[in-house]
Amino acid sequence: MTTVIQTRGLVKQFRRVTALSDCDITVPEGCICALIGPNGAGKTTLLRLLSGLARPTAGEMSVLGSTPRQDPAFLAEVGFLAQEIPLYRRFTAEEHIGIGAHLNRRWDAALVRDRLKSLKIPLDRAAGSLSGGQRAQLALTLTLAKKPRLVLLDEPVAALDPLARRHFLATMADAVAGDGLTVVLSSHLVADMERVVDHLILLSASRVQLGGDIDALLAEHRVLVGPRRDTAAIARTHTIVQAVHTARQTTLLVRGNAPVIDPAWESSEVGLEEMVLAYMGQDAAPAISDLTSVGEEQ
Amino acid sequence: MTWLTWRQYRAQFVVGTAILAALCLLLVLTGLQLVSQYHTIITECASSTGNGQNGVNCSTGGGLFVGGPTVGFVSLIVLAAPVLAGLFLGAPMVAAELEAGTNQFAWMQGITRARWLAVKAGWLLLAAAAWGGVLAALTTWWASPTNAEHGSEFYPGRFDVLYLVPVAYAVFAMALGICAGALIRRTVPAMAVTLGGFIAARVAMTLWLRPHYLSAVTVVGNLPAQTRLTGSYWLISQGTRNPAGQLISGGNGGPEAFGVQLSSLPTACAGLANPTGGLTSSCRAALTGFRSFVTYQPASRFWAFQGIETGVFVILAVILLTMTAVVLIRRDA
Amino acid sequence: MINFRVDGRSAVPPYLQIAQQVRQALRMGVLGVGDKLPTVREVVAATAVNPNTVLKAYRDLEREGLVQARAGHGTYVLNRPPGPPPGTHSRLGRSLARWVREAREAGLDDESIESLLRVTLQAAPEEEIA
Repeated sequence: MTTVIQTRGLVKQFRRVTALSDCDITVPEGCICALIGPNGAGKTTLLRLLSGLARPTAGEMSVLGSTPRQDPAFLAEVGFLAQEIPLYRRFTAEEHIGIGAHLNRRWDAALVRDRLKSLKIPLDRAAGSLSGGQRAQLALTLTLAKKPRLVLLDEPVAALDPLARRHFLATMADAVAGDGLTVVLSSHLVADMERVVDHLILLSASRVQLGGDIDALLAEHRVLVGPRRDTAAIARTHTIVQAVHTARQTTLLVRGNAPVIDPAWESSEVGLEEMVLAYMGQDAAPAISDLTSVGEEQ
Repeated sequence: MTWLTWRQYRAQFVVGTAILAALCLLLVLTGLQLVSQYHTIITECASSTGNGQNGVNCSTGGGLFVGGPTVGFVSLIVLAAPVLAGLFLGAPMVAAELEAGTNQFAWMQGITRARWLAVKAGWLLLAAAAWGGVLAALTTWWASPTNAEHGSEFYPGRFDVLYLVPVAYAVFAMALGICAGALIRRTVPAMAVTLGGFIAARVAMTLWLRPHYLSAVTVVGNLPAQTRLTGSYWLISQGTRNPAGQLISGGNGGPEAFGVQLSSLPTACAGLANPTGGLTSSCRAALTGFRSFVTYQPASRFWAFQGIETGVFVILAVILLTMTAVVLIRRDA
Repeated sequence: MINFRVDGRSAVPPYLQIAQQVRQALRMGVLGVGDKLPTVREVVAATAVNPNTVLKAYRDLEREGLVQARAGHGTYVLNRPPGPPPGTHSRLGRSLARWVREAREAGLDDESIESLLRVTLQAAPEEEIA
């Protein structure tokens, strides 16, 4: 399986803030990869590093086989869509198509026009006067029109209504199905994207907490519920991601392939959102004095 | 990239051309007036000294020429004009894109930041040069009557609006605007810095550096002989010193001769207070050791100075543009 | 032509939902032997699921012997799933609707009907064995 993105020890330091520390990620070809994390976790920073718009403070990066750089060969293969959907407000869709045609080696103008027509987005209206969903679709289609091999999308659906979100994700998934594209899209919500993503990178507190194929990850994780007790025994065979103790009950989210022998534990599968929340909550302080939340490094 | 530049600046081009046309109209209308008045004075005053016919004052060459408000007003406008292009086109060039985030769109299309900058800045600098050039040509024509009358070509304020230097100022202002926008990353502060920087540079050059482009010529004369300079020279300083080396001056209201207070001159020359009295031989002898000096730049150096100042501002522009390129390419988008 | 619906909130993973809907369509006669299944792109465009999800569902169905993928042409129905002909389903569906009407008239709410159905289903295999 070809790797489209590989990073090792990636660090991005601003003057007073460390946005990313020690990030190791792998993204295989042809996947739709979710970059999940709370606000401020470093998702935008990571995407900007991968696209070449920003440079890392330390670490190594390989995107489509080379370090991200500002040259037409690299730019032809990598698309990036920033969170604020940066289009020229005074220019129409048609003019944006013209910009792309003039500046890119490969450009499929018909793709953009057809897609916009099927979504009933006018080609001759200034981008500033389109709705949020229409602007997002226009920007996505423009990003796809240069036929890149990798597309990086920063919180593309956060501000969209459910219908616009559905259209956006369908357009994106269709491009993956048709052209063998690889997509990395970031979000702080899992539910929006659960049906369309098959790979996961979880960023929290500037670090990669979890990464890999989603089905494989879900198969490795389990929720164990049992009477309140000490967790040392389980900790020997599994990694405890999150432990919640009430007066009578202990609930654990564990990772590991070994079977759970102790019959007092009731084991059940874990959903994507639950797993993600457990990893994201590792640094959070407990809200109620009776509960203890223990996060351990995987 | 040229296509994009044109589409982005189409509106500004139209507005800029309209403003330029308005300025040209102002220059042409006032200029024609000046030309006709000049010819009137030449013909009236050729035949007489003192007052000519029709009440034209020949001694000062005509009231409208000396400190006339129209000339002053137009001079001010053409002095300020070069900075406008840098202010309204240069400062936003990079800064507005960074503020709107559209640079993230532009710089992910298949061109390098270097090419984006080179093409955009290239066209804007060309436009600035054209703007400066048109204004300079028209202003030179407009100023020719007053220059002929007063020999004022070389003087600060007049030198700055003629021939080559306005082109260099406009190009410099544009480069300064672009650089400020790239470094500061916000349009309004960049415009403020452009305006301030332009004024500071122009004032510093004109007041402190221009007098020294080439070493000024100093002519020392012995009173009562006084140096008479001809042509469009630039007077930097002049004065009279007594035998002790002290500077003596006039203008305090008392009687004067040779441009200084009669009281500073030897008593043998007191008779000069009388308008009908002439220079006596005793006065002439007493004046030994009194020297007058004139420090100036000769008229023949006018073009050298135009060239030097143009060169300096062009080099400054190149430095600013190089800084811009380095910052844009190396900094995070 | 079959129209897929994927429920993101269901506990059933999307690829299983798609496979189930194909099987159900075959049972109900909506899809017949020799019919072409929607292409991966068509399903993705309609449901916004990952293309691999659709591929997985179609592969599972192929393993069960229900469909066959022909390179370059698409995926075609090979067999119906074992079970009674479509007519049986419609007939049973109609009698079930009658029973539900009766249950509602008797005062059962949907939750009671569902748990009654579940209990009956759980009891049923034992009766078959018996």
